[in-house]
Amino acid sequence: MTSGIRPMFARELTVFTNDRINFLLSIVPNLLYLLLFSTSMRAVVGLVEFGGQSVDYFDFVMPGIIASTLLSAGTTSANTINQERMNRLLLEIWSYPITRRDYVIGKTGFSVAMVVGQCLVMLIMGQILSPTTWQLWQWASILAAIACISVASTGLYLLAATYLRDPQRFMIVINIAAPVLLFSSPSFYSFESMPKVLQWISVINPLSWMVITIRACFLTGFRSGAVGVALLLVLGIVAVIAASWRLSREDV
Amino acid sequence: MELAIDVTNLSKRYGNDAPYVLDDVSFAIESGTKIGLIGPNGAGKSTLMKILAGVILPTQGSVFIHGHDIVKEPMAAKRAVRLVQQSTAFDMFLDGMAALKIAARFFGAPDPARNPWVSELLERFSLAEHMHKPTFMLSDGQLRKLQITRALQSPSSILILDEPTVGLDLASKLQLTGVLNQIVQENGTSLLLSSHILSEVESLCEDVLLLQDGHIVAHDHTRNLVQSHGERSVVLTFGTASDVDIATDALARIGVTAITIAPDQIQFWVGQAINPVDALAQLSGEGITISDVIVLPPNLEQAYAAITTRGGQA
Repeated sequence: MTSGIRPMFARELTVFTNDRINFLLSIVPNLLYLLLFSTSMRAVVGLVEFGGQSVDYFDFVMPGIIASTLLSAGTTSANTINQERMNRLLLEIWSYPITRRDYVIGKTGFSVAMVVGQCLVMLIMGQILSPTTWQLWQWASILAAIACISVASTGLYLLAATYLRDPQRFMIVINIAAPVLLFSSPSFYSFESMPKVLQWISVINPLSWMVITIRACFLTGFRSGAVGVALLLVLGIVAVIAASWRLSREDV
Repeated sequence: MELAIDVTNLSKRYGNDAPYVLDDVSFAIESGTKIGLIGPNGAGKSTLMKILAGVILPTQGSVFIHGHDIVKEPMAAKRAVRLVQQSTAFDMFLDGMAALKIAARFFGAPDPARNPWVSELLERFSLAEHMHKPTFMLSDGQLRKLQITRALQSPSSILILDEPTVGLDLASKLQLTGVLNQIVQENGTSLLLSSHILSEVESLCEDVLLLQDGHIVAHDHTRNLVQSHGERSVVLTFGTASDVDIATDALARIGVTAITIAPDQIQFWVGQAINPVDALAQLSGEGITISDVIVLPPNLEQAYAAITTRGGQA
């Protein structure tokens, strides 16, 4: 780590753990989704077809709920940039010996760590509700895949925040975009069962590729999702670099 | 003596088509100097301070902080500078000590909870008992003192303060002045103080840099500036309020404009054209009773007004 990333990461951790609202909202809603939505829909739907095999709906939808976690973590992280810009904390932080790149990487790193923590909790709960025979390496590889994919989701949101500098406009756009992204992706249903229009949108929806990749790792093994993970990681790195570059040109 | 800040032909504008906020500014500040940065609103003071703190980049020109180019070696330059910005910016759910710790980590400074200098500052600013409250529960004055403590907790070569006394009571202002003088004396820190309260600048800073419309219109020793542009003023107190109008009219006849500062008091400024004795002689035949006369020395406020109202060079 360069000198600015470590204190930036530590700052994000300190701020997050002291903000009980964000802390609770980051984990409780997704656990409730998992507990209530997934179990009740499982009772209604039962099995779904995926990759030529019948899959328990609970296992099918778990990647969708993880994807919604990625969205909410990305939103939270990007929103902090606008909040910090609004209350002059950006000016304070940027007067410290830290580059804009360190700032973005610190935020991304913390967001990734937060997502991994949240998903670990969800996976444990999932294990209770729908036991699997996963080995330790499978748990580790799934979490590693989620970490790589969350670089993409966080990076894209941070990049969005460099364009949408008005906090109100940012919140409106992000809150309208979230359900569009979620429901125009195969998060809660298969690609084949989506209406044609949604299928077209789904192709250009980055969340679709995240869900597909996580689902591949989940249901058919990490190797089947490895290419997707690598591509999303590259996308994430590009987004982080672009966000850093955009912020380095910003006057506060 | 080593230069703490060396600025040459500095210009800044926010956008390609925007007007220049700073236009071809050059100046140098020696280490251990206390310099006041003054000027009207929109003069470019905050922009200059942000550039010196490495927060924004110059459009043109060069800025060296202790020999480090702010563009080419930003980290080395920024390590030398602490900025107390005008707004008191804190993460509102953090307590005061957590806020100090965050800043300390960025500068590689010791843990503030175990730093005797921080404990001393907190005691002097009467903050020690409030350090475990979330910052949103602190008053404006306490936030300001916490912000100043955050900047002062680790040694720096240059301290930039933008309106640091806003929200502070008199005792806290005196404490702050004492602390600032101490760190300049003990550490050789250079101080750049921006304030609209010119009496504070005059009492603390030996040099003054006056910005107007993005240009430096004066850069001199505070004493020189005051003596060359300030004027003595006279405050007269009368026996009755009706004497005020008579005295004002009498002074107007010799070209002196007096202002009424209380029902029974006027104040007027005397320069090279007229001195206090002449003015009082003019009033002697008016049949009025003067109960008190105070002659005030020239001050920075007058020098500032004289320079900025004529919009020219000092």
